[in-house]
Amino acid sequence: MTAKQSTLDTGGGETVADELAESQRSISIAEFFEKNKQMLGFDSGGKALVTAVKEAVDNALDATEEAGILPDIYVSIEEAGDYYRLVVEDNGPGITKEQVPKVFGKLLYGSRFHAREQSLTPDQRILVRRDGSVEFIPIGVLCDAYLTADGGGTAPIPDDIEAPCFDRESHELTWEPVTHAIRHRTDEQTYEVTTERGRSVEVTGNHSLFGVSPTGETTELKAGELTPGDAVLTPRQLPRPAETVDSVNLLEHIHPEQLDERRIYVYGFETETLSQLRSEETVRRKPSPESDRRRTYYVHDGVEILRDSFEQNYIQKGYLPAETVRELGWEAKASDCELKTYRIGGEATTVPVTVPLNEQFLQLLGYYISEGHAGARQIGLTFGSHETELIQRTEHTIETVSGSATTVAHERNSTRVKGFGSPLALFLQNVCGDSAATKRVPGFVFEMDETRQQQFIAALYEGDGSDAYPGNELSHTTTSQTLARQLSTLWSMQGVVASSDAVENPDGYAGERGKTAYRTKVYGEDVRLADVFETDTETNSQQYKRIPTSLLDEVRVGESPTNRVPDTIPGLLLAAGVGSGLGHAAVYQSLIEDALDGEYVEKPRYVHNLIEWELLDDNHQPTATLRRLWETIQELQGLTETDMCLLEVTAVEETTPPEYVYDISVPGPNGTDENFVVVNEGPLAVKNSRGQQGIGISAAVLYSQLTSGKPARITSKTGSGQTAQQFELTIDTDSNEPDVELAEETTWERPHGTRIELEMEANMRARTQLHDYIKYTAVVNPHARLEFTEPKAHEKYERATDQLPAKTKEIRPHPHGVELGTLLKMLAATESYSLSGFMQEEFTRVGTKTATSVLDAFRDRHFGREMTWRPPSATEEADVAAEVREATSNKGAEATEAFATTIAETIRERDRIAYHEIVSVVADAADEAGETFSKTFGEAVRENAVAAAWYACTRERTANLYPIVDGATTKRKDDAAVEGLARRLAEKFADADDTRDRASYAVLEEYVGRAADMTEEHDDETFGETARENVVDAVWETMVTVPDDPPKVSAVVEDRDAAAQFLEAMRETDILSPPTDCLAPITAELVEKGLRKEYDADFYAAATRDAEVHRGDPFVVEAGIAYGGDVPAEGNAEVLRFANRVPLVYRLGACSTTGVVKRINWRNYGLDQPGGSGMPNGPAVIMIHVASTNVPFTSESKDAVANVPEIEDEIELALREAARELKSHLNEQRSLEKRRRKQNVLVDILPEMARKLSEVTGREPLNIDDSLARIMNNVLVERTVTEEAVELTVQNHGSSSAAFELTDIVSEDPGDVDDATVVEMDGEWFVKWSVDVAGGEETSITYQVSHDAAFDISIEGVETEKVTVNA
Amino acid sequence: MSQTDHDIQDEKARERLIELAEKFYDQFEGGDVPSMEIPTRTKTNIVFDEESGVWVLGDRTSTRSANSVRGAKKLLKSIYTTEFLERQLEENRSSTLRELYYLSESWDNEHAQFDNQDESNQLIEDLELVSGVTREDFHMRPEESGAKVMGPLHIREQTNRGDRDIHCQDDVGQGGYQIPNNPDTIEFLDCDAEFILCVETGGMRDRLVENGFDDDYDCLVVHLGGQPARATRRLTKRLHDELGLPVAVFTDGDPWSYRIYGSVAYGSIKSAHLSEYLATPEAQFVGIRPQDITEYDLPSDPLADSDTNALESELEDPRFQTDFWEEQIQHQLDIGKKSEQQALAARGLDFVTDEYLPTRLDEMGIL
Repeated sequence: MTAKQSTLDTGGGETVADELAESQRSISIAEFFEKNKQMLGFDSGGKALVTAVKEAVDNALDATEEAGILPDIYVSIEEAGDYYRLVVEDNGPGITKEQVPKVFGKLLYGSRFHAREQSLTPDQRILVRRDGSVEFIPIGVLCDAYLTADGGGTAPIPDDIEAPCFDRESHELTWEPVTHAIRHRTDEQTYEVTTERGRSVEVTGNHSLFGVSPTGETTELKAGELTPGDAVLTPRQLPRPAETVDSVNLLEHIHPEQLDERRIYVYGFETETLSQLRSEETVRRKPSPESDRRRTYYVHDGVEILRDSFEQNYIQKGYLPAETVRELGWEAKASDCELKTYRIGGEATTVPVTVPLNEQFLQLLGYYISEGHAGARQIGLTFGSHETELIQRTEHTIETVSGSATTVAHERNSTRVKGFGSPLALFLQNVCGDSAATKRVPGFVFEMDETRQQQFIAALYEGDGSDAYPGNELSHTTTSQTLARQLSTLWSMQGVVASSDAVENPDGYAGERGKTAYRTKVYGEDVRLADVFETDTETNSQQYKRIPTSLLDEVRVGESPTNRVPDTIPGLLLAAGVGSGLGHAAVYQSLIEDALDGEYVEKPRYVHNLIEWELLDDNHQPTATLRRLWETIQELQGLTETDMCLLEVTAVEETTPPEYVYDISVPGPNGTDENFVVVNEGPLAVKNSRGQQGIGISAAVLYSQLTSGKPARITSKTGSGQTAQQFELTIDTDSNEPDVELAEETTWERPHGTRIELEMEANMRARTQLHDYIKYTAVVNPHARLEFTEPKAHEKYERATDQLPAKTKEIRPHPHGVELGTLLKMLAATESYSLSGFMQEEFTRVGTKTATSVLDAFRDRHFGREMTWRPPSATEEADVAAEVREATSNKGAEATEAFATTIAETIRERDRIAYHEIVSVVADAADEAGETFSKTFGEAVRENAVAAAWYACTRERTANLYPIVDGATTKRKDDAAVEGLARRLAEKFADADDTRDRASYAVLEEYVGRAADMTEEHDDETFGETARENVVDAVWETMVTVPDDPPKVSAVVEDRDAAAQFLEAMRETDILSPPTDCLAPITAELVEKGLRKEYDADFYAAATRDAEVHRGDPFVVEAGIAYGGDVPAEGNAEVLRFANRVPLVYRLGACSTTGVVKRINWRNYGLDQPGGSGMPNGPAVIMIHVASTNVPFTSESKDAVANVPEIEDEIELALREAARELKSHLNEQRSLEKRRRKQNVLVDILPEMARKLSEVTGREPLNIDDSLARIMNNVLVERTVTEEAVELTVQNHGSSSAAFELTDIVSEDPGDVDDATVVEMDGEWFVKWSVDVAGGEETSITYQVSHDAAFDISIEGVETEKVTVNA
Repeated sequence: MSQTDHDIQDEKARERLIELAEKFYDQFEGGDVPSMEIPTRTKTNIVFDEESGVWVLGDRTSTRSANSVRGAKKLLKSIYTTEFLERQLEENRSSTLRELYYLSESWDNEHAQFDNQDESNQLIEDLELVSGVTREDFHMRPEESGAKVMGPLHIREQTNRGDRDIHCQDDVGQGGYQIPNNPDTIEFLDCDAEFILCVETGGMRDRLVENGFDDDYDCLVVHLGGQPARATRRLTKRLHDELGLPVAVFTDGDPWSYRIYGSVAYGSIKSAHLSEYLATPEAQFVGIRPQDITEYDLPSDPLADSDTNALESELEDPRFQTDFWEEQIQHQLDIGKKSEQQALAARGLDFVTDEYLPTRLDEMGIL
């Protein structure tokens, strides 16, 4: 608070100062501001000014554009005593007193910043991944690495550091980039929160962990408000590596200094590889200062290799000393080689450089970590003497890996297995640690696949002597805290939540007395992992697969016998006090379900209890209480099947706060899921701060108030008739409320507008950025007029167009862009009843037709399709008419016959028919027959007829399916097998519960799968994946969408599966891209105008791409290029970046636009680009604008556009489009240059030629202009002046037409001239014609003027090189 | 020819040059781009002139125009050269091609100066073509001296130092009579020769002279010395045309030597515009024929790639499209060998004069 204190001392408004002094409490907005001023862009006087200008100008632009006014913005910075005064004025509609706080205090008005103070103490270990390898780093260490300055602050972290982060909607954990490191001072209380399974984290009181609400939603729980018994969300399944490793290169894990003086060699290099060492220079020098002879060395990559050794040994035998290999960095080149070492006594041992991570090797690692130690030349593992089997296995393993001999030394109580092989020993020592307390899991273990990790874990426990203890528990004890932490994390990668605890003075640890041992245990079914350990009793489901009963407190009807329940329906009922055990609860479940289905339920005792609990009413019907309970149960059911589970808080203790606390920013999978994982003992998820974000003008108001003590002064005039009003705005830093006072009424020359005046501590060090910002704003807003005054400069940026940017329209979401969570919310909120109406109402680009397509796709998913069959022909045994006749009774022969015949004939007309189609055929026939014969064909008759007809149509399912299956499988398949598959598939349809032959795609897959399995078994024919898929697809094609009404919106809201099916149907359906009038492209024309306005270049090009869509968000990319002229030629081209017409001025390097600029080969377009990639050089300005409803930024700070391939592609295309124009311009320049040079030479030669010719021929001197013009394909303008008239002849000697403006400047008044404009200026008459002469043609202009007149011709619109004026 | 004749000829040459300049002048004056059209001098643009029996330039021309910087420079040089030649004729002086090249260095416009001698040589040929005046009539001499003649011929040569009567056996040394640059200054006084034998190499010429072949067979031995100079060819033609002497050409047996024969008999590509003035279509080829290599089992060298290429290119050369040549060249390609004239020495020093030439010349109907 020192900065602020000093501000107060130096004076300022007393009232404000008092208020500020009052507000020194930790929660004050002022302190928040102080802590976060770097994030807010006010961390230095220079930057503060830029930020304030930026915010004020953005505000002004918004205000004017919204009102459809061409912006006229005035920015002035002036010195005012010790401070700087910033004035920003616009000609917007002005604001009223009521609007002032909303406009200038709007962000502070809310409480968006409060969450920022949450932080962790410095030694909290966080789980991060860097270059694919997993690390546990204390948060303080990580952040300090990026925060170079002392004190509080924020610093960006490069993209390559990732942390596990869970999606609050789906509870899926993924690796997400960490964007910022944050450190600040705190006097906030800190707490250590401990959960069951022995996990803990130390955080500030307002730092959140996560929990789940009774409705299944993820909630944030402040550490300071947690109490034991609360359940916090914890990672159950940490994300696995995307790419796994299956071998390890030993050399990479041996340090060069360890190899020094140690005779380890790498054998097996190709001569070709080694020969590279000779390829560079050779030096001669003394091997050491005292040696008297100089020796020759090859130098390769700076590594010196003694030539004698190389030529006589290395290259001959194909080896190098291991030390040299490391120095050269040739570990990868050596991957197929072997490490050889010689024992004293001569026998060589060899170890491959690359060791496969197979079970044996992982066992060795596991045993070593548990029991091993490594010396310089040997690995020793100590086992209890009874562990014979383990000793043998270990010996065998060491032998297999190293091929070296092992010795077994029997001691009193133990057996030592010694394996020789120095490289292996070094490797183990390095990757696993060499003493009990430093033992750790090698990094590559975290990158292995699941099976290997499990083999490793098993070996670790085995080596530790653990077996499944009674009670189905596996326990691993170590004095290495790191190892325990890693092991717990490894378990989490297997989806197992291990339990950690620390044991002081553990028994049985001779020599380790006084130390702490860390125990990692797993229980129950988890023990069975990797098939190594057996369990001896039936295991219950794990506690962490259970949820606390407290979640059901609100709907509870009675005491629960337990405080943790499985997340099944019976379990949840139990939690609500329904039933006394899971078995009871299951009975209750079925009763409740029946009751909810509208049945009258009856079961002694149970129903009585349900009525007692008021879940059923006296009529045995569900009550509102039951419905509420049921809803909660539905939400919570299956909660732990995600990557997260719930652990109960066991203790919350206050701790002594450190001076600084830390946080990192992890935006998470959708940018708002800020959280990461702490692993002190085992993984725990914690929430994190948001990164830097745009704050708005209010921060500038606060900054000026804090630094100068003066309120912001706002002047506003809402219309020309009105008087201007001046307000003073201060922000009450205690309550965070803006305070506005009307200071006076005043006059203002502007008809309307707003003016803000801020006085602040500042300096002009960021002058360049200020000017850049204003200039870029002018480029991108060519419709705006900007004026900028600062103590040393005054710039005016005039308007280049009167065209306001097109007004953007708000659009509804596009069906391809929504997520399930959003969809559910929208479904819950809509007023539509039907899904069709919902889609058309709530989404863009959905009309009746699209809605119908989506609903068809949804029906296919929701109800399945119905199979269609070929109706039997008249001659076939299965006779529809006969069957129907048979099934119809009491309708009289005639009517029955007509009814049956109609049905049979209608069906026979069909190519294929499905059940529901038969239903409608029968209904039509019944109506018809009923009418004709005045008989009633009732429901029963119809049903019988349908059944009969369906029976007839489905008698030959096999024959029906055979051609389909045959067509979908290859010709090579055995006919009997195809027939077999068709028959079995037919049986699946026949045997299905659904007699309508209705099946979803998944069910059909299952049918085909089972039929194919059976066929493989019996008919000795294989049906591979593809064959099966083909059959499924072919059958699915013949199936038809059913006419059932899709569920109503209300039903889908309740049914997550149905909603997911609905979402899938929307995504699968082709839907027109979203409209783009919601975007605000500048347009190519205005991009060019903007550039032209601010850059005095020779050439301008611009391109606007068509709108594209990225994840449902439309976007448009524009690019512009200015080249040559006054653009500085030295150094890189200037890159201007804009997102939604706002200049991006920071983090150039992190922006994907820059990446795209760098990856284009600019040489193709005539720009200089050293090396053919990277930033182009030369006098060029490159502008990129991305407009989107949702521009993806790399972080909340919105300084850089994130790498989205679709957007990058468009940026590239836009740039290339503009660059092509540049190229043709440059080519033209080059050809003009060539022409100029040609002309220069010819202008020299031709007169000489002419002179010589006159000499030789003795004739008059020649005029050669005509010839010259003709040679240059030029336009030649010649004048003939006679008494009567002036004639201008224009000859176009080129091949293409020439159109230009020709002005004859005449010293006498020519009067009116036909086809020309005549303007008199300072006694001269400008006679101007538009001339257009086709290639090879000639034209002439005649006008009258006094023949005393003097003339001067000027031509515009054609390059001067191309014109020869002879007049 | 009398002095006046020469003056008239010089005047005519001068007029032609000025006409050329006037043509350019007119083009400029008319606002056109100055240009000149020059027949293309390539193998593909020579045609057999039935009437004269020689190969002359065809119709194809290329235009050189001031349109391009290159063309303009060439034209500028042409004009400067024209002026120089015109003045030289006026002053009745002469100069060599090489002198012209160096002389251009003194011209005031550097664009008019020649870059190398090939350029100036070519430009003179261009001017010959466009003006229809021979180089000799421009008083331009080549640098190298003409070849030598030995045999029973009595001539009178107009030299700068007056007329000289010379007998090409009696009044000359072992080397023979040296042909002047412009053989048109020679008058034939008397001739006892029966035929002309043009010999490619100096060694063979010396062998023939030493063996007294010219005496024994009343033969004019003309030394060609590789590709014969214009003067040598012109003299040969005059001797043939004016004295009715048959001409036989005796060269090495390789493709390059056939071209030497070709230029004597049919004219060269470079001077195809002067073929009628230089070529002696009646000249016959003695040898060494590829057939001789086989028949006499002459010592030989294998054909190099360049030889093969040259032979193949000759097969396509319109000048060699005769049965004789096609047969011989094909034969040579088959045997893959070439032999020099001197290879005949393998049969003894006198073999060539006693055996080979008499037999060949007899076969050819010359003896």
